[in-house]
Amino acid sequence: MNAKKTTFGADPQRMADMLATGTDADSGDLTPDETREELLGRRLAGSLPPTPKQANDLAVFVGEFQELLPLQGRALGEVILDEETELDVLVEIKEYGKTLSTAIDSEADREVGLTIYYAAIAGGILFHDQRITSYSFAVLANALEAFVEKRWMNPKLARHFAKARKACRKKMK
Amino acid sequence: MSKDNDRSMTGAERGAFVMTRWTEISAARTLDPERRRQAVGRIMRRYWKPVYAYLRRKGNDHDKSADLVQGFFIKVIQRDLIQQADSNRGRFRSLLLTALDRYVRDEYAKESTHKRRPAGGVGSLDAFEVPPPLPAMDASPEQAFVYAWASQLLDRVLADVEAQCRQSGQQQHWEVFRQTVIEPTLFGAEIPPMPTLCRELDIGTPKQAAAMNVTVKRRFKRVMRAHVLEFVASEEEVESEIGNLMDILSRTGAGKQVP
Repeated sequence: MNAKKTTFGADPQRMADMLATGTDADSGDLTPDETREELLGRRLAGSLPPTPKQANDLAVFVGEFQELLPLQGRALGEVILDEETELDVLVEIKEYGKTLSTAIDSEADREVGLTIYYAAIAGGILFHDQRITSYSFAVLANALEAFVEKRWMNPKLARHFAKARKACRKKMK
Repeated sequence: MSKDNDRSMTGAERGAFVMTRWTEISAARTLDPERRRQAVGRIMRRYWKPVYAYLRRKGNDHDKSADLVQGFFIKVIQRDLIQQADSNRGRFRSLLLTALDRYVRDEYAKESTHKRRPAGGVGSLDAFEVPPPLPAMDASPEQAFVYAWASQLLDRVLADVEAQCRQSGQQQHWEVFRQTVIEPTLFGAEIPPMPTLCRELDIGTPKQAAAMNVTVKRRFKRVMRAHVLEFVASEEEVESEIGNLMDILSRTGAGKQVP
């Protein structure tokens, strides 16, 4: 609380009401789409964490991880959509998305993880003309199309997916 | 707001929470005098407000209340009053209050306040924080204790929620929650119109602001449960502890404040 430093002195009934806010927090549930929109926004606003391997391996920490240091302080969404983001970094982001999609149990989290996964793959195609997955361009085009159509999709990411889908279709010809 | 650098981090394992509150007091008994003195100071810093509020409501002036607060915490550790009140654990808040009530009854039977002061003291109460005003005039000592307890709980929960929002880059989320939930609920502030708030905070749409609020409310709930879990014996008791606090606060009602 930056405006009021303590609740001491507040009306007791108001304090009871504030405690009640914590007990009925689920009453304002988001719709499934809103949940995904919110989760995706949170992930994109966050930064790319080091993988356990990076965090634990000192040699990697002082070597490979140093290359990721410029990313520190930058939002993940910004890095994904930056055409100057290096391919290695996109591969890291892809792995991060994969981890998110498999390590968590809610459907919303899983879909958000997959969104990051495919956004990184799309970046590889658009910015480096590289396919950083074993999926064929045909499979990718279909998958990316599905993301473009998600109602909860971040508008910038939707455009990113649409461009990548177009690029995949060109490659298929 | 008091700073508690040594408090358990929200999100720690449930077992760690439960153990921390119950064992720290017992553990302090086994320490050498200097470390015990420090431990008493830490424990006192954490719980002094409810104890002080109770003592003031009992009719003691500030000096006597401050004196009794110090004496109580020394005795809590020296004689392990909490363990004596034990009854197989249960709510820490209730047991602290039981122990306090027992202590006050014993102390009222004595004359000398000097006996309450340990050699070298455990630090002045005033060094922690300026004594706050007490709640409603007609509150009982027990209600004053619960009021201060709940206030301390809310202060810590809100500080943690704010810190978590800032750490995860969600300053907008926190600000929406503060302006539309905290300030109106706790202090009667007017809820700003959502379009105005969105403009001020550079949020795309009111819908997004509403979604931010839901996120922080959930975080608030999660953090509050984690904090309450520190003071009850099991996860099942968290809801009833919060409900009990709400009941007592509602019965305490609004009233004039005592300086």
